[in-house]
Amino acid sequence: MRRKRTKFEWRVWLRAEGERLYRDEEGATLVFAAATFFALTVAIAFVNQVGLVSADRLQIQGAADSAAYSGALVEANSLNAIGQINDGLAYVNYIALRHLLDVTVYAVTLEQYTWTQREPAATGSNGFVIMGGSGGTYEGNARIDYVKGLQDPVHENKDYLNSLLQWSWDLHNASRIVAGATPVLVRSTVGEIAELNGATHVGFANDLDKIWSAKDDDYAGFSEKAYADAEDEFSQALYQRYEKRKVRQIVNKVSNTVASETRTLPRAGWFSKEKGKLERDYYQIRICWRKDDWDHKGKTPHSESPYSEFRVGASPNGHWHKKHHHLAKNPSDPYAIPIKLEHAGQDPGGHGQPDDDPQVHSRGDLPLLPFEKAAPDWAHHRVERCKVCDVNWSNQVLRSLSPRPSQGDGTYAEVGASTSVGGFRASVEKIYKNKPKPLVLKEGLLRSALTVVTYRPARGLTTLFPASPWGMLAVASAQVGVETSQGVTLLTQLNNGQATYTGRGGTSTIPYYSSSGRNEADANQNLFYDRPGGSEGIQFSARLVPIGRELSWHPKEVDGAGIRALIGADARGGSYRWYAAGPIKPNDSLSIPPVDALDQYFRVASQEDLKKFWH
Amino acid sequence: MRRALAHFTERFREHLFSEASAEARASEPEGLLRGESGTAMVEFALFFWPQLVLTLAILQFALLQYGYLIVQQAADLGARAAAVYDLPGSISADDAARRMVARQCAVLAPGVQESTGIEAGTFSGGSTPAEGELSWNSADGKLGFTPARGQQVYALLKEAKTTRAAGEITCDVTFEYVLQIPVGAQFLVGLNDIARGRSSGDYTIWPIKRSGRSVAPWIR
Repeated sequence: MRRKRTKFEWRVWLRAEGERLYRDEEGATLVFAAATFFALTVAIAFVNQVGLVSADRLQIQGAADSAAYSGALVEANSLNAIGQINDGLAYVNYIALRHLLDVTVYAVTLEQYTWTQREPAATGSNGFVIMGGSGGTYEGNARIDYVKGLQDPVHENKDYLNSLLQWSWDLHNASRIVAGATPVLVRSTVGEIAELNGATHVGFANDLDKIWSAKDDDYAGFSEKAYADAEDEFSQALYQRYEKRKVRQIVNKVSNTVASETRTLPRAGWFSKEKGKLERDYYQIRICWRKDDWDHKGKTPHSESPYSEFRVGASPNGHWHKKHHHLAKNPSDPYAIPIKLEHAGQDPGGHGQPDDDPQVHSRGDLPLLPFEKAAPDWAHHRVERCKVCDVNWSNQVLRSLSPRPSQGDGTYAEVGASTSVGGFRASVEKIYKNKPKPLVLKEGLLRSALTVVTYRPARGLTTLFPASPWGMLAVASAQVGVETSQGVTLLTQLNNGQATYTGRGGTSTIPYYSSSGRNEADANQNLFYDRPGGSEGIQFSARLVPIGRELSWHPKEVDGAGIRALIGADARGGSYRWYAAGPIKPNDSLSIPPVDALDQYFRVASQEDLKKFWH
Repeated sequence: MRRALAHFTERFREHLFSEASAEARASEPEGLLRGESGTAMVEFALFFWPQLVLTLAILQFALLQYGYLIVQQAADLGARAAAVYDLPGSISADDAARRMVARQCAVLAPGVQESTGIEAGTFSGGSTPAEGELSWNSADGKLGFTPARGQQVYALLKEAKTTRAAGEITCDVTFEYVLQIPVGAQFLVGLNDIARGRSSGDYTIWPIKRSGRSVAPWIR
């Protein structure tokens, strides 16, 4: 055992050592160089490590941003697709209306000429088109046969309208397919974009399926019940959609000018384009040009017809009677019901009276109109009630039959009515009642931002600067907004069926379906797709939004439980789920990154906590 | 390279072993000047201080690079915050960017008021942060910043300006980084002044200017 040194011995040893060290000059500079190099090494390692952490931080944030934004874009595209499909429904509706309108008018118009029964029918040599073909069986009677065919529009058009109805259902089913496939697409896109941007794990809400549905619950983002009980309103919305839509068309047929104009259906009292059906039987207008008619042989207070729109140049004014039947009445009894006369004569004037209007009643060899057969006197013109002056020239029966024009829409006058149109009407209305109802947006979808959390392991440099065991975590939230020419506006207010979108591009309002009912201010504008900045519908796009923004959370997720679950102990199965980054397939299993340790450092108890730490 | 080395070695040998060299050595005086003892001490005295300055400068330079990295990250995240908050709401995009930049730069604040003389400041460019905005602490108190340090940031953050363009937002940050390592700081600043042909006179502040950028397709 070695003896312990005394104090003196220590002093001697120290002096000897000091002497030796003092004299020894070996490696003197090496010590200082080593210190400097060590400092240099540590400095480089330090800066390198900070750079790694900073780069990873920005990278993982970029991954979260890109994934959330891409996922929300997928959602926006799906909404736009549904809008376009709904637009297609409106188009089919317009086609049906157009067809309904045209075929009715043509049928009735042609019907009015069937009485001529001329033999032979007009041929091409007369400048007429032979409808129904020429030659063979149809030669001669072709036109009449075709006219008769159109008199039965139900027979002619039932199949066509049914195919339009089928078309509507096909479109509707397509929109449901889009809605159903969107969550799958979103998940796949989010996972893939996150992976491409360097994340190893990606987490997001599993409520996409619940939101992208039309179930009758609080989560669903769509409703198919919006117009279930309001067929007419729905038809009105569909029609107004198309009426608003501007299409390029020839606006001046002389100069062949093309411009974007709205395309509308003509206004008619018998036809409701808003309701998409016939309101009543259709009659056609015949103007009576006889001065005797509209001034009633000088017995009416008006010397000129109020229907100035029918004045053409120097032509006489005219208005019409309810029916221009030739009627006989007993001049001694002004209240007797007139009797329709059956004329058999060949009086070209039709009346046999020299003072009749020669413009009409002396028609030479022109073919007779049905009522222009022999009539005993001109007084029969007075038996019909004048709708302009409302003078009762006849009796109470006729009064009840013919309301004043000021009370109606001015389309009463007719020569004959089509009875066959009635059957057609029934058919069209039946088809319209079976129209599919479109997917209409609800609050849940408008409010739901897609919140994505991305994770990647941290990088470190040896034991000097070890990698953080927490890894790198980033959160980003993206939401569907309305595309404008200035940018994407964002939901800023939800009020009783009206969603207000505000931003640099201005303010737009979208009605949505709420539990209190639909908003009827602007007929379901949210159904339809439009170009940016247009007024005919909306186009959705997406943008990042701050985490924890109130209007960026589904009403069912307002407490931030989802995010808490992601980084906390609930990560193995809450309302949010982790997957390995990459295109996520529907039956992929969960994959949880080691984020449990985070919980003790980042305790997120509310949305306010979220706002403190993440943007 | 090898030829150059051989040439140098040859010249050195000539110097050592030639007669001229021997005469030169023989003519040197005897005694103190000939003795080699203590040269190490002299060398130490000569080279220690420059080397110490160099070492301190290296450390300060590393810290400065650290500052650049943090400010760059702050500028990037500030631009992102501006892009995210470019919406009608409670705070403007500029304020959001400023807060994010301040939060990121908080780690660069010296934190000790007595030694640095930097007191709490307010940022002149906009609204002040919300209560607790810059004094966030983790659940166990190990992370986060004290309010004093948070407020210091606003005295050092001279600029956090966002510029909006189609599809992107840029954020220009000027942060006055406090160099705290003695001698190293002065050496670096002095070197910089010489390089730029000027004299700043302030050997503790190094203004860091960085520009960050964030892609924002939702801005037209």
